[in-house]
Amino acid sequence: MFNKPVEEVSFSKVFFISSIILILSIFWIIYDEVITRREWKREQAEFIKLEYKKAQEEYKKAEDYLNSPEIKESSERLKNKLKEASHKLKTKEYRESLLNEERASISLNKISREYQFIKSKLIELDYEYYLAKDNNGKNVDAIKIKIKRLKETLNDAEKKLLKKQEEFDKSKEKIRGYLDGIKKINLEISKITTQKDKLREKLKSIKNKPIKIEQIIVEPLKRIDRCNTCHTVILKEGYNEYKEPFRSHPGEYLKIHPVEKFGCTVCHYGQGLATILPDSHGMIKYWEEPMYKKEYIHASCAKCHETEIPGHEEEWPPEIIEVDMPYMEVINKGRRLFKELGCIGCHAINGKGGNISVDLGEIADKTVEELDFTYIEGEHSVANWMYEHFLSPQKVTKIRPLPGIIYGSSMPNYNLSKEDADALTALMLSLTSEKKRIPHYYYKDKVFIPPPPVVEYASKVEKGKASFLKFGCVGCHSKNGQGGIENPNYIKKTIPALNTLAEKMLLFEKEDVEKIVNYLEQGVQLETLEQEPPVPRFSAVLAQYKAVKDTIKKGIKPGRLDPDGAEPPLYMPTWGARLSDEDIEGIIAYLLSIYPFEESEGE
Amino acid sequence: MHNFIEILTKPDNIPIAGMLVLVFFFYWYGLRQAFRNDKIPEENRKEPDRVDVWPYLVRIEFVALIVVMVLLNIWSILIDAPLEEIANPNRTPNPSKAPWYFLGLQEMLVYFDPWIAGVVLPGLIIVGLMAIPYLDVSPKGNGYYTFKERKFAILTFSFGFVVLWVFMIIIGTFLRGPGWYLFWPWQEWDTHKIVAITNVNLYDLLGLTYAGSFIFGGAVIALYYSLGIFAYLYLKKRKPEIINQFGIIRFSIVAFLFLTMMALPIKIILNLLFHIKYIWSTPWFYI
Repeated sequence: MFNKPVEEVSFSKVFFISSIILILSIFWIIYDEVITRREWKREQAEFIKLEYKKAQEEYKKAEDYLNSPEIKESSERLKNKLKEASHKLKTKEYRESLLNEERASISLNKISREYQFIKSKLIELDYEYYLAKDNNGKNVDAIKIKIKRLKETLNDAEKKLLKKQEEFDKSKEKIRGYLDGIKKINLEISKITTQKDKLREKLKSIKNKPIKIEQIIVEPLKRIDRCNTCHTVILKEGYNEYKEPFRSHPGEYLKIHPVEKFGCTVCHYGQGLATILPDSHGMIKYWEEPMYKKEYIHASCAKCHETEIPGHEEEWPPEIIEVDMPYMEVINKGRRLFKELGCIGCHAINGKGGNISVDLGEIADKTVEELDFTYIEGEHSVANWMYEHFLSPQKVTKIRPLPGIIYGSSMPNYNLSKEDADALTALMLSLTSEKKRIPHYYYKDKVFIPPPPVVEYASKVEKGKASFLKFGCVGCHSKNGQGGIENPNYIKKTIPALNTLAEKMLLFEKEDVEKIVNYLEQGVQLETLEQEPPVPRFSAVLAQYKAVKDTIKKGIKPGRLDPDGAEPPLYMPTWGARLSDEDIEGIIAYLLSIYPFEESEGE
Repeated sequence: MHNFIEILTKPDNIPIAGMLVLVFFFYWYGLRQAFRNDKIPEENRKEPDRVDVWPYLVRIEFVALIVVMVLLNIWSILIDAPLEEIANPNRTPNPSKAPWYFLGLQEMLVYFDPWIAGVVLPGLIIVGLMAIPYLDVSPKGNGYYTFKERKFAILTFSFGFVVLWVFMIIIGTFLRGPGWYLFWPWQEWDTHKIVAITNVNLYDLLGLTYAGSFIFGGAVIALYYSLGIFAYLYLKKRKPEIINQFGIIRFSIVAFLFLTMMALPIKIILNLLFHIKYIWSTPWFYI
């Protein structure tokens, strides 16, 4: 073919074959567009089949019910009754009463017509009377007499009319007696068969149902959701036992949050406009809102059912409370953990909290490309990154071999269980800026959460213990001030323990500690004591006490283990502006009181 | 290497990969024909056969059209247009890559300042391409492939198009990773990569004053372009027929465009091997 001169080569075969392929490819495009890429059509067809089957079963049940011997017997009886009743209609009496009724109605009509005419004439005369009166006519009196006479005849006619009316009513009653019996029997018969008739209508409507894209448009939330294109029954009840997508929405959520007002993706996320998988569930690269996993779905509840108490904006730290609401167990667990672990010591929520690490107020707005997934084992989603980071912060953000630059995550590893990590991840996902984009009138029915009662602490030690938790000291200094949390390149390697504060303040005897705590308890300023208390080396103790107070107020920059290395990421922040002297004294009293004397004696 | 394959098979890079194969195939195919023609002895050469465009060429083009349509159809069915992350003005991607056909220009920005690489050189490319029919008036090679008779034209074009343009697109697409750093195919694209930028201006290397550097740089550039004059004088003495064929105006335009083109590889070598940034600095531009 290639050796021949171009004029002698025939291209008809090549042309024919390539044209056929072109046509086939066009058919493929149509097939791809109409069938392959429209999965929802199949889903809907399947559902229509399912629904039809279900309705058919119900129809059959209704039919069976009609065919059951009892019902058959009773309906037979009713039919007999009906026959009997209709038989009566053929008797002479009934015919006679019909005739009576007809006659009565004719004479009634006649009388009532006469009565109407008299009335009309009376009105005419009235008009003439007034006309004559106005024109000072002579025949005023004659008209007056006429009116009087006519009124009398009207009274007579009225009496006659009432009489005839009575007669007519009686004759009608008689006929009704015959017909009412038949009506009653018919009603009873129809009661038995309506169910079947209704189902027949339903079957017809299912068959004629068009296959089309369904969508819910929620303008205030800026969401258009086509989820119900495949999840057709999500709004209907009674499909709980079926598999997805032909399952009713579980729980009571939709009763409180009507779909027309909220849509789907505002809670579940995913790609509302997409109609095929996995796109519609948002499980594709770069779709920033993949569908929430089952474990985290209640984070959406917490978006509106808030973490903070309204009206407490000024206070620090934010009061994180557990909302007493169904389905909020996971979020409440997360909130409880958030308090217990002292996260607020380093992290702020919308500006309220510690400033050692990032503000968590809108942490769920992070996008996939903002995160490093090099060391993530599971799927590459923001939720999973958070989950694995909670499990092991240092594994996810490994220390890179760059001296003096990055140390990886400085978040302590709290050895969380998987459930705890899930709960915290759910809490983090609830912290989004979307909260602010939800219009205020969506909060109309929000239950106002009363602020918790102001707690009166029995002693300063108790108050100090509460502050130690509330201000997040516990985050770094651990539960009961045990310390032991790693701080990379810190000279002491781990964050100092605080339950040995008594020792540091040179108080080695239990009695001495109690004395000092007592002073603090009474609100005595140790610095201004005139008389030296009976504590050994009190001046030195006082100096240490002042130093500790100063440290809390002004903070500490931790020393470096390797002087050329990076700054240790965790440090003691300055508390002077946030804690009053009273608070600090309370905390010191609490820390003094937890010194483990008995154990040290035993050793 | 899996990293490189991943980049190569990214839906938006597939056409580039395919185009590169096609460019080199047809380049090789044309040259092969040229060399075959050159081997035919002078006396055996005949006036080549001529065929009408209609229908003999048009029907081939029509079949080609159908085949391309089929390819495009199948391609559009199998590979969807890829998504990227949502645009965020607070987090611009690094690098922001130009469309693939401009990646050669973007690559030039590494070696020249934006005024030269972004305005002057692209302008000269367009003007130079438009000028080719007026500069190259030789009737040789019309209607047949030949290399022997058009060595300068073919070599210059090959260097300018295949080496500088196409290779720079390859580099820009496949070898430039995060931060516009150079990554070899076997290297992972590490977003945290740090490369010490130790490039120095030539005049700073010599420790010149501002005025001195201005004069020195200008002199170097002037000397570079005066290579054209030397070439003219040399050719006039040795091969006067070439000069006669060109004429002085045409020759100087060709020499200017050619030297400007060659400045790019020279800058690349200076930059990559000797870490030299600029040669001449003026208040308005750097070269």
